[in-house]
Amino acid sequence: MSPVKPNKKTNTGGPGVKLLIAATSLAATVGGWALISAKETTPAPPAASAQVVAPQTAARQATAPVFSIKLAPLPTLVPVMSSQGQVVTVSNVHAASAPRPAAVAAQAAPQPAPQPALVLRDVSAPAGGGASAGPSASAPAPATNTRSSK
Amino acid sequence: MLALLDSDRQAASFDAVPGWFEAWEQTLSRFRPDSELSQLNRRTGQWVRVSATLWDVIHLALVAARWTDGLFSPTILNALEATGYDRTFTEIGVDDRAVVTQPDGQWHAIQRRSLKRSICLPPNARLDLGGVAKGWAADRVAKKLAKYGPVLIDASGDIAISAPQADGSPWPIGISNPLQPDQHFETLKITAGGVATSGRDYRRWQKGGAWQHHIIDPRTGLPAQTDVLSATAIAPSVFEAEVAAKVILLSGSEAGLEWLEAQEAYAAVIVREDGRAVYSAQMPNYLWT
Repeated sequence: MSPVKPNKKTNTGGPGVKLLIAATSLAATVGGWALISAKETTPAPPAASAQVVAPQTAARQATAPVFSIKLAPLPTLVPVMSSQGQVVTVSNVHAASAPRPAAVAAQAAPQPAPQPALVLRDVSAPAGGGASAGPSASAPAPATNTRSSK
Repeated sequence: MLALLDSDRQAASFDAVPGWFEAWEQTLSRFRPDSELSQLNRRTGQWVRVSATLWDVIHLALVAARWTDGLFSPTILNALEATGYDRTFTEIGVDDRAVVTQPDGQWHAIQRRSLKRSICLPPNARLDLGGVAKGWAADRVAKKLAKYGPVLIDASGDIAISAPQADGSPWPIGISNPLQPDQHFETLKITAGGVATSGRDYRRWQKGGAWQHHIIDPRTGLPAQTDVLSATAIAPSVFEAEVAAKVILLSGSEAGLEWLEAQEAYAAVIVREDGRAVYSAQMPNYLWT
């Protein structure tokens, strides 16, 4: 039975090769950045960068190179809402067939508040003598009446 | 008091309703010298342990006072009695003595200890819980009986409704015409919630050569000077409707309607002195047309 030799990690290159790869990579990166920087310091045509700046800022810009960084739009977890479907339509309160729920009322709050409709009705006419003195003819007999305390 | 239950089910508690009202009257009435409220009013400046009922109603009264910035105040009893309303309404006669009173604002100084359920009224500040107590009682009975079926409770014109009638239709509620007391001028359709009316059309009397009524303005300590003859409000509860109706009456038709429109889920109709009825924007939704 032959003795088992421990696995020995084989080196594909010595420390010199690693150093060479690292140095080449660093040189390429630095060189690339230098090239990009040289291109970006070139002033853009006035028409392309039509910015209104304060006089003192303009003076500083004349002596110092300008770097502009263009960032991609940030990703967002909240999708941009399209205007369609966001419009809250509040129907005419007099046309509504049921009391307005509180949630709808809250949605409608930012909109200009409609002037309350002042519906006036004369209730002083003698009973039976005027069309406006009594309740609607189609109304059923009340189960009871609300009134101030006797 | 009227209680209507729209159900075939036997409600064991239904027969107990008058007894509940009697017990609450004995606790909350200012006209009974031996009521718990009267006893509390006699011990101003002292800590007094009170029943759960009195505690709850005083709490509601203070909620209303804060909500209305004091326009609805429970500490107006001294002013109310100064105007001549110092006995039940049927016992009041003509009194030539002048009315002497002052603005109210003492509800701020009422102290409470919830752990001991104790209350300390400030000196000379006595409570009248009339409107709040009535609304609280109607709401409470409606809630207790709701498990048996749709119920309507009418506590002297303040009405609580638990649900639509058994056939799904709203309850028809008339609004009494303050100018023709035996008539109603509108019929409401109410599926649930509270309805209350506050007015100076019934309870008025003469003192100091002038007509007085029972709606005291806490800002002056005197009967309210207002163009409103009666105000009927609809709200999620009778308690809220009662407060809303009283605020409208005290504020006047214009300011009162403006206040009401700022409250969500409320509606009102106001009868002015000139015989005109004014409706809030939401009111047509509740009218039987």
